[in-house]
Amino acid sequence: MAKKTVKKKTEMNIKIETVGIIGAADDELIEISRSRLLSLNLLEMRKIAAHYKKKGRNPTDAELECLAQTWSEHCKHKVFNGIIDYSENGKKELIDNLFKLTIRKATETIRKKRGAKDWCVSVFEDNAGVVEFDDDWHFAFKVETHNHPSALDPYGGANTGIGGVIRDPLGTGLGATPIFNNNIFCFAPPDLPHDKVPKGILHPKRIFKGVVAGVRDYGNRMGIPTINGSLHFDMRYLGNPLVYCGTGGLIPVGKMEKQARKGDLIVAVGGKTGRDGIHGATFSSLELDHESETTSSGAVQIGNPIVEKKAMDVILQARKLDLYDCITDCGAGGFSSAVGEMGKDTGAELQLEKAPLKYGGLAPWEILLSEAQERMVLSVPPKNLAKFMKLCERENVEAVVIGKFTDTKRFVVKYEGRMVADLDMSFLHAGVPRYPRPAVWNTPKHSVPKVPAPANLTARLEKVLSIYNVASKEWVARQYDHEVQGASVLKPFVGADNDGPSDAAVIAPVLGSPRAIVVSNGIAIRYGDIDPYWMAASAIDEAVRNAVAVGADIDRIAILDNFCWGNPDKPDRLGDLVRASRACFDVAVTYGTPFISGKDSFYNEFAVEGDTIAIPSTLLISAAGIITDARKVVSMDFKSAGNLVYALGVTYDELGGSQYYQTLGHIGNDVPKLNAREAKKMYKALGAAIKKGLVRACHDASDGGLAVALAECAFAGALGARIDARLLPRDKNVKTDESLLFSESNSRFIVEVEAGKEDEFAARFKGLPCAKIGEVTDKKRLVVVGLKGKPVVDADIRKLKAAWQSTLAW
Amino acid sequence: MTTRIEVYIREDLVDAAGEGLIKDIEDLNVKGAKSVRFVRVTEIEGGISKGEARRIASELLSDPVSQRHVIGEVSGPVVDGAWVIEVKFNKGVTDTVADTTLKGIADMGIAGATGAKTSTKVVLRGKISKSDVENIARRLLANSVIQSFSIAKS
Repeated sequence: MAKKTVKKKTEMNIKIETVGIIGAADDELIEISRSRLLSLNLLEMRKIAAHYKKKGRNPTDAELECLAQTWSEHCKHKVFNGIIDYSENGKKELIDNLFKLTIRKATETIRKKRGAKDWCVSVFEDNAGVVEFDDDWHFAFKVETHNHPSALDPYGGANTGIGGVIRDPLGTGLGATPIFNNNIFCFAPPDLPHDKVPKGILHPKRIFKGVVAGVRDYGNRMGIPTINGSLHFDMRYLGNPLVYCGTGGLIPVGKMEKQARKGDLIVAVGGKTGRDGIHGATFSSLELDHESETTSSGAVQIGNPIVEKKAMDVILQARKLDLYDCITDCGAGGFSSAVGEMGKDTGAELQLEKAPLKYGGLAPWEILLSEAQERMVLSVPPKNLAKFMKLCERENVEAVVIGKFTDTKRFVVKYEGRMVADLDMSFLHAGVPRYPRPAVWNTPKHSVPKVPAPANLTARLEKVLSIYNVASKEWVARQYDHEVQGASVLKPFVGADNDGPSDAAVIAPVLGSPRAIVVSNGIAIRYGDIDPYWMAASAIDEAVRNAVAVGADIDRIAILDNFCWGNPDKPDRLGDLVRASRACFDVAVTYGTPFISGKDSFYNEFAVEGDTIAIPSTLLISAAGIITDARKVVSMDFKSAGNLVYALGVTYDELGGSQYYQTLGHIGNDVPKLNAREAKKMYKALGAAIKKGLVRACHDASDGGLAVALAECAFAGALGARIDARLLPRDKNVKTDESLLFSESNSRFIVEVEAGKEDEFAARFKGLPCAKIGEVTDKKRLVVVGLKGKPVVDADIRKLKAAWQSTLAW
Repeated sequence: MTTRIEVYIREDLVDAAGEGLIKDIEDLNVKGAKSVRFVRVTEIEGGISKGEARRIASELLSDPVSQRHVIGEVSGPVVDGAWVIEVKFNKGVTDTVADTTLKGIADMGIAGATGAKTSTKVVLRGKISKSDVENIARRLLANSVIQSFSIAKS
């Protein structure tokens, strides 16, 4: 693809090819799909051939490309919506539409149960999920992944990742105003020796730095604060880094309805069309290998935040003036996807020669499919056109009429009068065949450390604090502007020196109102190696408890799912997906936290020397909640000596998948489980206690367990603490100090309570696992007394902080 | 006609990007890098007078407090014996900074510019072999998917 010569565009030279698929043999169909990078399998190619046989003609190149991208995994989620032939530890069953039976069903169940109190506005329909915020505004939230492009060009890939997800809320309803970004990255360890990096892969440190710079430059230039995120490291992300980017926005109540109408003009707004990003949708449905660099260079997109910022400004003004009926962003699949979606119920006719191009020589199918950035498509009634165009002209934004919506239920594409494509909307959107894929999940067995831990765990705590997954991410967060728009309440870093890790971010986006949005995330990669069910359950719990820790009410938290998986054609990968999705249903329904939007990205595998590295099955859960009064939120740093330290939640013997075991080179088997019913009671109680002003600091225990949580609370507050671990609520199987301090059991918090308010605080947790475990001191030492009554941790908090900060202090 | 403007951080100030690259070079296990300075290069096509070029360089492309610029000359950081790596975009790759520069020039009321291109020059001082410099360029500076590089010794 990359070596294709660029012909200068002349009117005579526009090539519209017809592809001979009628009567083609199976191997020819496969070759057509392979050589054109269509990522269509034999079954799908056969269905297309049969469709065209009935029509009595062969498809054009543009039609084939259009079908390939609309039917791509990226757009149609064939795996999630498909049929799965599932076997779990030998027990077999057939699953018809996993997504409908788990994620979507969870939301439907919750909404039904809430009845009149349902606060969802739009779920799984639009470009972002939408919930109620206040009387005037709804809140829209979307998280996307941009993995494959970021593997090839980290800066440009991440750039367009953030640029793309900003356009999602902007293209939701009649347009939401972006108010924050978040981002979560997964990389291979950045200290990997260069000679260990296989051919065709960029070094993980370079990917890391490039991705951070890409997100920074785009987000900062758009004037949108980046308020929340996290970083995770595992060797298996070497060929496939994961780049999750999210954007939240506010949309006026009453601006949600959108529908393109017959006669409306199709207007392209923003960037010009080039060859960039061709085959993005189908490319993300391919496994990468060292050839990817050359075959897929078209998939690299170049972002231009200045163009997007201007387009955004115009759209938000036009929204106020009610100048358009419908809007969507040009993402994967470009015009073909955007116009095809908008005109799904009506029909559309495009005149491709009108599209503004970056340079000549583009074949019509390339213009149709290009994923050039910063483009939005609007449906403008003819009577509003002059006003809309004037607005664009004044703001120096390129806007061009490229067609109109019809009532033919056909998607017709022309180039200077010549037919480029003429597709039935129904075949395009509903024609993709469904077929069963095998999936298997068997309980694995991993090794556990055999050597007993030393009596003093201080050195081990320092080690855990310093590993990449736990260490301070301040080097990254400080490059992002988290203050622009002036709405931040709780920032990414908090405490005496503004360098302690905040559990969640809080912003109060409407000037003069204390009503706020809390944003957090949860991810539990290593647990998936033991059981993806508990990985997913833990990710939801982490996202929710992070929000609860700062003061969110669990009844006003919505969540988003982002699945990044390996090749779903391999039964073990797909088995993981079934396990994880089932946990999503169980936990979300118990918590009452609806999924409002999500995305999946498959084929995250890299072929190297005959072997394939698959990423660990990775589920990111993003949570966003409504806080009625931002003035009541609490941060995680200890505030004053003499205050009491409480622990909430039961510690189990659950070192499986822990960061502690990782430092010892093991995975283990006792993965953290979750009792969602019990946890919910505690979250309600904690939310109420924070609202009442009974909590001075609150921090959740996650990566690194209670030991890390205590250390972080102490050094963030520049205070010490004396803790008696024997007082911790714990399961009878917890028999060692290492298990007590480093287990990553879910649903646990460290809470600081003002001396004198302890009775009032404790009364709220009657019947729940809650215990006073020590007090805050001014000694600058963290002392933890272990099960034998002697200190097992005794460390200067400055030394612990240094261990935590030095790893990523680039 | 092409007008070449080079902008760089004042030599008495820290070049943060350069310091970062030195650390990355150490990670590559290449020893001997003494200093690294980055130079941002903008090439403007079209009829632009010397005075206009000076205005573009000082008002649009550089910060007069922390940066210096040269027009059609060799940049300050380039000294005898230094390696100079120049990284350019491949043909057909969108150069957004150049696009915005052109727009900025027009906004200044200067009419003659018809096109622009940007590239990055990295000036590397120290005792380093050519193959190591190539390694640095390939592994740390240019991404072959979208960029190419050239190496010269001044």
